[in-house]
Amino acid sequence: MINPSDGQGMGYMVVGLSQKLLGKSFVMGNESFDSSNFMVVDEDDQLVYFVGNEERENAIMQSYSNPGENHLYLFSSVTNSTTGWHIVNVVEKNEISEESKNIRLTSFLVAGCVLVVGFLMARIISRTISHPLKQLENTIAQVGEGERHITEEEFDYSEVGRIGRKFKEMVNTNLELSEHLMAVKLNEREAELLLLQSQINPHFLYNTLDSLYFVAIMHGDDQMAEMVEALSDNFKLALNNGSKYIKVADSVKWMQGYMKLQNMRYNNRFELFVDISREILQRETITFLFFSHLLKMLCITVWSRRLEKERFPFAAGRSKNNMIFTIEDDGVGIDDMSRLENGYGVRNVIERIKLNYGEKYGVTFESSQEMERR
Amino acid sequence: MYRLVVIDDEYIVVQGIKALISRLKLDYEVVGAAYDGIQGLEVIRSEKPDVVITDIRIPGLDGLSVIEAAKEECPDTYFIVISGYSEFVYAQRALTLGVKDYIDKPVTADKLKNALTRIEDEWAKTRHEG
Repeated sequence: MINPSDGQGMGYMVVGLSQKLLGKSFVMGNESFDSSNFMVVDEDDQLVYFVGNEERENAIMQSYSNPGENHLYLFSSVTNSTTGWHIVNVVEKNEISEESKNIRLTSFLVAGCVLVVGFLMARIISRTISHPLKQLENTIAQVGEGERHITEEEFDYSEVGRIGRKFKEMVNTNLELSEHLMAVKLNEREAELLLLQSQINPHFLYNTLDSLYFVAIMHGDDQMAEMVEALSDNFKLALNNGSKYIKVADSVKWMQGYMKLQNMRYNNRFELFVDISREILQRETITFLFFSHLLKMLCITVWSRRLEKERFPFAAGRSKNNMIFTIEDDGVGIDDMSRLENGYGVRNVIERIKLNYGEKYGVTFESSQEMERR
Repeated sequence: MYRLVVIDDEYIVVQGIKALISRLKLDYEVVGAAYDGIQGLEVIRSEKPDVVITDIRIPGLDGLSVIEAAKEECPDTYFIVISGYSEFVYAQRALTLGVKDYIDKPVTADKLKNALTRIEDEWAKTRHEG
């Protein structure tokens, strides 16, 4: 104790303290260092009080008195200015560095996680943009290659997807339009044909032919009667009541009539062999002009080249749902095949077949005087 | 010889059928001809023929009406109608009137012969039965 008047020590007051209590008063709260020790040291660096790991007490004291060389412990102290005593907190350096290692590890871990998550997010986001783009690109490429009907590509609802959708819609509408155009073209053609048919006044023609027939009969001219009859039948079948389709049987009848007339003209020069099953005879095709044109053409092309009799085998077959008609001649052949397709009649026939039945149908000509048609 | 009447507004058809019949050497003779329905009915009444060949579309009275009227007076007479290109429906109606046969235009030797021989065969059959 110090005398306040002269500042000299005047005696001691002994205060008894429970060591446990003192210890508690030092450690306030959880400082989370396992190796934390507290000690009280007097002005001469003599240990007054120690709380903590008793086994390390001497080692700690030793490093405390030689501050220059110790590396094991970290000291932080507060000095009481009155007594010159220090309250010292001792922590093992190891533990602090351990702590800082943890901090480093945690920061790395967090940074890593952020990086990975960020990367994944970026990928997902970029996919939602790039996928529809890729789809759009593919679709455009397909259209570029001639595809006119897109069904497989399904676009999502993103902005690019919407563009894709529009594009698909556009292409498909275009297809519809072109199909529509095709149908209109077809109808126009048929209307033209019907107009042509109606311009020929059939009743007047038939009646006159019938009269001619009777006149021939009255004059006893059987050959003329026969010719007029064949011609009358021929016209009747050719005009076909203005209808678009005709039975194969009627087509054959027409061809036979045509042959009859040609044979009267050329004295039995031609012969037509028909080999068609009853089932096919009952079927219908577009007006048979297509057979007639081919037959006419054969007669004309063949005619000037040979002196012997010409034979035309005419046959029909089926493959699945298609009918295949073939007509041949046994003449000397046609040297320039392209001439066949340039004729107005044949070109018209081919065009009508394609318009009516589709692109894959048509007429093919074979060099050894063979003709095939579907 | 069976007796035949031809009714058609076309002169040439009537003459033609006459010529055909004589040329085909059938057992028929044309006993009367008319160019309209009214005249036709008169000829049928006066001649009472075995067979009548009539066109459907004729002036005055159409072919089917002629048949209907003539049927009452001449129940044994056979009728053949000539039908035009688009008168198939009439032809079918004619069959319900008891018309024996029809020839679709144009009338030709073969068609006429077929129709007339068919009728002859039928007569032969009924006579045989009778």
